[in-house]
Amino acid sequence: MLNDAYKQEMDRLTLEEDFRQRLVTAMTQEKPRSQKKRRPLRAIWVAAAVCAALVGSALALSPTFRDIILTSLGFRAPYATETPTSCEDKGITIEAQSALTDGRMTRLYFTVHDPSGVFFLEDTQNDLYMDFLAGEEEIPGSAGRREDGLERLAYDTETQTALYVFRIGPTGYESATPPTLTHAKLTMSYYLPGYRCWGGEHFSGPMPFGKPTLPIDILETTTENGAVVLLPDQTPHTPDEDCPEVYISSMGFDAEGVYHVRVHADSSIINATGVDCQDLPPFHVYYDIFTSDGKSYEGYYNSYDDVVVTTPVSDGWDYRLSKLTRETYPQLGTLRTFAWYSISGGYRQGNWELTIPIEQVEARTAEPKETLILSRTKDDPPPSGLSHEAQVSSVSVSSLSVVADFTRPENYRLCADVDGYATACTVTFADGSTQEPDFFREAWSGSGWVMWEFPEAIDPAQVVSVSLNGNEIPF
Amino acid sequence: MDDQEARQLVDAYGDAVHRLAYARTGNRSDAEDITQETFLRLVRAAPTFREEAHRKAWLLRVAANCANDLHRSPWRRRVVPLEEGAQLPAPAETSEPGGILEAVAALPEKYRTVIHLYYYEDLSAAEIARVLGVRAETVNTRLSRARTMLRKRCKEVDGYVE
Repeated sequence: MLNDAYKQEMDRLTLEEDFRQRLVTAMTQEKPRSQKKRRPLRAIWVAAAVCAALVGSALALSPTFRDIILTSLGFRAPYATETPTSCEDKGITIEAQSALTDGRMTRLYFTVHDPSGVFFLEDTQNDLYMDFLAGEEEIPGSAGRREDGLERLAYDTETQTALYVFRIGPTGYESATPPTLTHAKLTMSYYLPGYRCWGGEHFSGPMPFGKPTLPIDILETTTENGAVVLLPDQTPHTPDEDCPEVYISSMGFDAEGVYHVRVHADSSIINATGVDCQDLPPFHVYYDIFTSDGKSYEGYYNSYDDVVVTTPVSDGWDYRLSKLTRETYPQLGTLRTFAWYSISGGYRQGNWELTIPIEQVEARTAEPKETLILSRTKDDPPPSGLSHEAQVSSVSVSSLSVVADFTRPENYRLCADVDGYATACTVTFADGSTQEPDFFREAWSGSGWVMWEFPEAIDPAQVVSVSLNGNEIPF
Repeated sequence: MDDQEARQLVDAYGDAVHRLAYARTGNRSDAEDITQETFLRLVRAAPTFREEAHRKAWLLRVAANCANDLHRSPWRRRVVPLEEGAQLPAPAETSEPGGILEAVAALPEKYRTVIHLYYYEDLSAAEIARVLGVRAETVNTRLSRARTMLRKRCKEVDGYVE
């Protein structure tokens, strides 16, 4: 019989005494993963005083940075306001260099100096924000994410100083004349080194179609507080190269038939979902359940709800998904776990604030001599009953940007949103040369506008016409 | 963990873990690595078991996971040879030429574990499913296919596979 023969041969396989002893020794030297202890919010600023003393010399704008700014400003360079205003906190110094606006597009050039270099690491985030002042009135601006116009132009590793430009267009949908901006206000309240974003998708619906096999039963235990949690390390996992600090340790049903996800987290990581959340678990668990007929959702649940019970365990957290049971499992649509965390100590808070006077640049405006209607060019068909076109009401050109304003064509019910990205914009100058500015942003809400940006500032007095999709508008 | 407690655990479950690891890998050195990692995970995780039987089930599950991870996980690269272990000559492989261990070792990996747990640990399909975290139907399918493959391989040995 197979089992007799197999047992006979397998019985001969025993651990050598020497290996046993070495294993015992190794076990006694191994330490249990300690209960996760959240570090209190703190910032360690090594030699901050020394850094502050060094800042002054590092702040002198290097010739290279100045050249970059001058090149970027092009025609405007001789006139651009130089506003060397700086602020310093926690060893990081921000210094404004130049600021100018045409009322819609604003550019602010500034440098950041961090002697530690941490600020400039690829995985460091920050909450740089630019607002505006129009006299006494505050005009909301935009956070400094790259997609919102913050770009690092250069980085000097010797002085640990980087040059940035903040480009901000209109923040509203209105094409009405914007207020005259007098100042830009640059603020930052933290930077966050070692940021990681982990998102495990275990499966997604619609269920029950295509549901992968998952562990049905899994071993559990009860904590001192009486909470049922899964025993660790029961679910195989492939280490995530980008986020090896976190993984799903176990997932499956407990003895009562309720599903759990137990996640492991290295004790060094810190929640990075917000400055006020650093003492909370960095994980977020989401799941949704379809109705029994599979046609709609019965509910969406996540770890912010009471229906997900979060229990700290020795190496992470156990999430008990109260609504996901053996009975509802066939209706499970999506189960996902996420974690946002820092591997480098969490948020480093401070107070950086600069208010910079902005130089105004003039814009020239022209209206089409004849009615100019552009057709909707978006791929998706417009909703039934809507028009397909928008009428160009005016085009304005400044040294920074081109803006086309659109309105509802006469006898049309609505103004359709043409695709600004796909609309060709060509600017012709007095000397016969042309430029095609880069698409920057568009906004549509009953009426609309599309903005293009000049990579290098131009002289608007030299513009003779702007062409939109081949339709020329003379200036 | 003190010396006595560690010793008791190794004596009680070391062979079971080691045999499962060997059944899965067919290699004694790999099996020892897996055994070491499994017991160290036990110390690190320090789980509280509701029943003593759960301890063995947990160890077997972790050993199976470690075996899965053997060739893809960085933990193996971090395994430090136990003190002085690297200098010891490798023990002779256990399977005999033409023996049943050799036949089992020739099976695809996923079948070896169920064969071992079924025929050596005397676990039912449901219990194996619990250990491996798969459905009982999956275990039955694997057992059936493994038997077929063993039967084909061991057809010269009448009565091996029933």
